[in-house]
Amino acid sequence: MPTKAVRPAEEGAWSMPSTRFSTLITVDDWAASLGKLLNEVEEAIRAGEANPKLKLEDLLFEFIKKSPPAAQHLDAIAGQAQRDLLTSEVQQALAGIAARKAELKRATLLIKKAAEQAQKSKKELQFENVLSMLEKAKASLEALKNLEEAATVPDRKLLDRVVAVTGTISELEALANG
Amino acid sequence: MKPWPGRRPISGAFISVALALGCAATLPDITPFAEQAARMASGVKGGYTQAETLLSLTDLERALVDSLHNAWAPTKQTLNAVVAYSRAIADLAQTGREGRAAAEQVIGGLQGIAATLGVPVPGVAAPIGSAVAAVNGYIARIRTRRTLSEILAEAQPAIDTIAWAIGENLSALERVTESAGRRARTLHLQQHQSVVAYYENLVAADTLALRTLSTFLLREMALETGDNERAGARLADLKGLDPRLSDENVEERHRYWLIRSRSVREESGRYLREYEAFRARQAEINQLRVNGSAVLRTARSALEAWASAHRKILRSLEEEWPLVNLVEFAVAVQDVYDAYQGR
Repeated sequence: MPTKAVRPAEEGAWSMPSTRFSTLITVDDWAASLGKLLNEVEEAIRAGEANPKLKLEDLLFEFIKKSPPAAQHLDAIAGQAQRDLLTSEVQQALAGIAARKAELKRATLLIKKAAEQAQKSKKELQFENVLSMLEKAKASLEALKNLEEAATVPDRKLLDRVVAVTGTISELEALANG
Repeated sequence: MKPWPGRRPISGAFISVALALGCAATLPDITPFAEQAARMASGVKGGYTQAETLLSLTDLERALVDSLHNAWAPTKQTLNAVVAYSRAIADLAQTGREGRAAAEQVIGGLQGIAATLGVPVPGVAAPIGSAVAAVNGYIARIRTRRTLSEILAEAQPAIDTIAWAIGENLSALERVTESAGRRARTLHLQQHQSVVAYYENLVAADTLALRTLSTFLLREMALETGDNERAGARLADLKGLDPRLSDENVEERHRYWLIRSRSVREESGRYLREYEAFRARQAEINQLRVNGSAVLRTARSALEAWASAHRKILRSLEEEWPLVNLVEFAVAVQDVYDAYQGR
């Protein structure tokens, strides 16, 4: 199942500020509110959905920002809850990446083989171009040699040079096939 | 992916790079595909680096950060394979396109041999040589098209799998980036919490002082113009704002609020620079998060566009199209680089 990417309502925005903390007065009020938040964090980690976790992270930030100085000890707990949310997100990512690893490896091997095939075909094609031309050249020289040998007075120098050039071409062919 | 037309001006040079033009014998130039694939791979890798940068600003357990780094390694290797594959098929296509040129080079060499021999050599005279080169080139293109089609057809399912798997990995990283950004900004807040809270409370006190002083002023103006009804209403407002104010101590309380406003302003001025530095750093962290998420999101789209471009090239080979439109792919890759810049 594909995982849903994160899509905040406004791209890049944090969640809207909450009015959740505006009625809290005493430190006990703040502690009770944090207790509720922690339950929601636990549930969100269990469910594994991205957006609820992000909303809770934003709420924990707000909690820490708005809580009175006397509630500093609660801030440490809120911070830890936020860290737990991040940890769960990373663990989920690790699990997902691990689950896809084998398939990715297989596909990677396939395209590596395909790349090798393409490189091999490229070399073959390059050599074939040359080999085919060399073959034609040899045939042409053979035709010239036969013509000259059939002449009343064959040009021995020309024939020697044709043989030499044909020999060189044969060496090149051997290299290309080699 | 954002809609293409009219979104931003694109130079002609960019468009000419993005269109893979084919020659008359239907073998397209897919070099732009390989170039964009390389850019895409680089962009995707950069997306991971952005996520790691944000994670370094959090207090996530080091072992988990290392695990994520190790888990990402196979994806990096796959991206390298993607670049190598794209280059290999582009090179093969190019060799096929150059078939005629390569043949003409060899013919030229043979014509040199003929000149050395001092006699015309059957088969390598200029017009025949040219024709032979043309035929050879044609054969090379046909052979290349068939070979390329086979290679691409066999690779397409793997291409689709890679686009999907890495795309999912990028989505997972996007979630991590969003979460890490929030943790980073909270940690930063906690480091400066006392100053931030004090300053913001000073601002709130200043706001209250200014509202109260404005109300005093409005009451005075009403009295000066003889508007007793309005003056009375403003006095009632003042009693709401200042519980210590009564009919008997209005002037005294006015003096109190004037002094209060001045002292709050002075006090907040002492912390302004620190507060602004805090805000600036919070904005930087936010920008890292926003850009990082955008890079990962657009990188996923670029991968999908890459798989789609590969499919288009395959179809063009099978159906002998002279042209393969890779504009969508090029735009998707550009989106990744724009995301880096926060555009």
